[in-house]
Amino acid sequence: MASNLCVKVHPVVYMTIVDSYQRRSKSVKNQMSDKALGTLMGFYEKGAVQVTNCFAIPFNENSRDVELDDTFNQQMIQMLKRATPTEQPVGWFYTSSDVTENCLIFHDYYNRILSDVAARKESPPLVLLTLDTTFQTDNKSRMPVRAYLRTKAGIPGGKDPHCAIFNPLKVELDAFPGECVAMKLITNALDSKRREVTMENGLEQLEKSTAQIIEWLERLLKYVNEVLSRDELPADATMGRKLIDIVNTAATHMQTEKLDSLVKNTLRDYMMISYLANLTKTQLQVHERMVSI
Amino acid sequence: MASLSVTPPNVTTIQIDALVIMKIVKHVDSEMNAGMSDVGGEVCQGLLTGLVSIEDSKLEITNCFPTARAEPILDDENAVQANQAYEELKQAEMLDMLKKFRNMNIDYELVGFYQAHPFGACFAQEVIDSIFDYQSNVPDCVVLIYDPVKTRQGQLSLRAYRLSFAALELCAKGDWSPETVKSAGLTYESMFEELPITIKSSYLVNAMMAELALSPNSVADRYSAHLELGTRRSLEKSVRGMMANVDELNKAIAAYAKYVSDKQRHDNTVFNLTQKRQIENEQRAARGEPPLSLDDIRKMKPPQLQTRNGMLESMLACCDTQALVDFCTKVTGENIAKLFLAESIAADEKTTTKGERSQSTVSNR
Repeated sequence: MASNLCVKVHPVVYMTIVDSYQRRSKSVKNQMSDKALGTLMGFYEKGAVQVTNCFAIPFNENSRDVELDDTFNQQMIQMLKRATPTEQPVGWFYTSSDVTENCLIFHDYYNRILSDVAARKESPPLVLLTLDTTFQTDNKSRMPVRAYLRTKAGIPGGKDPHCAIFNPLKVELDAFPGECVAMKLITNALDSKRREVTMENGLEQLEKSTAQIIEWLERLLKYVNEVLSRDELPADATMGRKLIDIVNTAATHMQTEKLDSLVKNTLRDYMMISYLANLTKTQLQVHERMVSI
Repeated sequence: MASLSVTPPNVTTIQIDALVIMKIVKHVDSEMNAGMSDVGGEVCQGLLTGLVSIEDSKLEITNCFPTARAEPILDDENAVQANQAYEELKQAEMLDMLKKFRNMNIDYELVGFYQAHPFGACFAQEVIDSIFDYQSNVPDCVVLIYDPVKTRQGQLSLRAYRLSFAALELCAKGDWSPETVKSAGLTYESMFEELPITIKSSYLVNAMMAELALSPNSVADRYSAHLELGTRRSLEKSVRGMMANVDELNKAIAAYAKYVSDKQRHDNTVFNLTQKRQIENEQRAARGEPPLSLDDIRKMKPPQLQTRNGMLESMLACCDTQALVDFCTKVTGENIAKLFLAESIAADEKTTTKGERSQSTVSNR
């Protein structure tokens, strides 16, 4: 039985997981588990789970026994709840390329936690999110993210289910508007040698996106010209429809008269505000001088 | 109170982990998403942890955590007690959290706090009090002010402030009378120091961001709010805020003017009385009588500035107005640029179809 539950993960979750993996303990005692594990916080939507926050907890798994810090987990859940009351535990994360035997035990534990929290009798679905931070899978250049839901399986009619299967779920990246903006800025660090970015000035940003628009347009133009000039290239219908869409929005959104009045009126408003702001600034400076005399 | 033990700070730049940025933004956003506070998100506060690297004179902020939402303050006799209990709980929770950070190998030195504030006009008495508290404990503490309004407009806005050393000393003395402020050479511009911020991400985070950018519906491409033309409402709010602040400032100026004239009158009276007494004393000396003392004149009370915190209030109003003014000028500047952009594209549109397409990209995205 495949579930069509969709897991929507916010960027901050990924970043916390990566950070906690980087800060994992490497003590001799803990040698066996070179991984990070923790609780996912979030909320349920229709047909989706929003994972908006997470934190790592101390745990220990070696050949003989498996343990994790329950009090730590409980307290963290309580504290995060006080800060953002809308969130509740929805699952757990594990930085591993595949699902191991120990996952069953952890999953059982989290099931218990979840059913404690849930008001209804039937506990909501519990998600396992894995992030392969060691790049061990076949495609070594990607960092795969997977989510699973455990389902029971067995022979029908039997009393107890015979086994459990971790069914993969669809993972999507989701973000609040503010997060999108922040993410965009942070992604810029990819281009920098020192992995650093600074805040952008508004006009610089504007310039950059204008340049980008022009670049895209040139690419589009090139593409269109190529299709037109050469017969052997097929005319892509979806592409054409998208182009028509673009042209249409331009025509409806920006009628000349409308735009003219918009420009005239708003420009005046903006000038006024700008003038007022500068006036206020001057007043501040005058005040400063007056006081310091 | 360890009032005289303020030490000057060592750091000059701030390096913030990408994680911290995301966490702060997320905190405010999820609050708004849940509809618990409108666009302001004033209640969003949290603490920053990290480490101070003296060699590079750099403050690294590597993690943070939100503090619990403030409970509504009740207006009965238990309120004081409840507030106190709440404060204590907050303290205990903070220590607990730091302990947990230590367990997870996260830097657990407290290096300041963050706060969300629309337009970044955050300068109020409480902020001063708390930043002074932090700075007197750890000299390198800063406060990060996050502006959700500007961020929603497509530009991340995060500023790091700390009290300048002169202001810190005045805070320690708790004396904001005009004379001391003047002798300290403090103005509203030099009250806070803004520190430059760089955002750093680790290799693994970079790898992950690259991975995320590959995902089919990449979020980064979906939003380009900075090309939005309509920012009128936030501007209106900001101008309103400015007006309120200017009113406040005017009040402060009036109080100051009154103070100055009072002071002058007082000085005059004292001067006159002293001269009179001196002449009298000379006469008495000529007559061989003992001179009268000047003590009663010296004891005359000088006038007080009629505001709660002396000059602090007007300076805070100045700072706030400054922040709002900056916001306004920046936004209007950008908007005018955008308008010109749209206009020129529209002019293009008449002649070529190319312009049409570029126009739509602006409105489409």
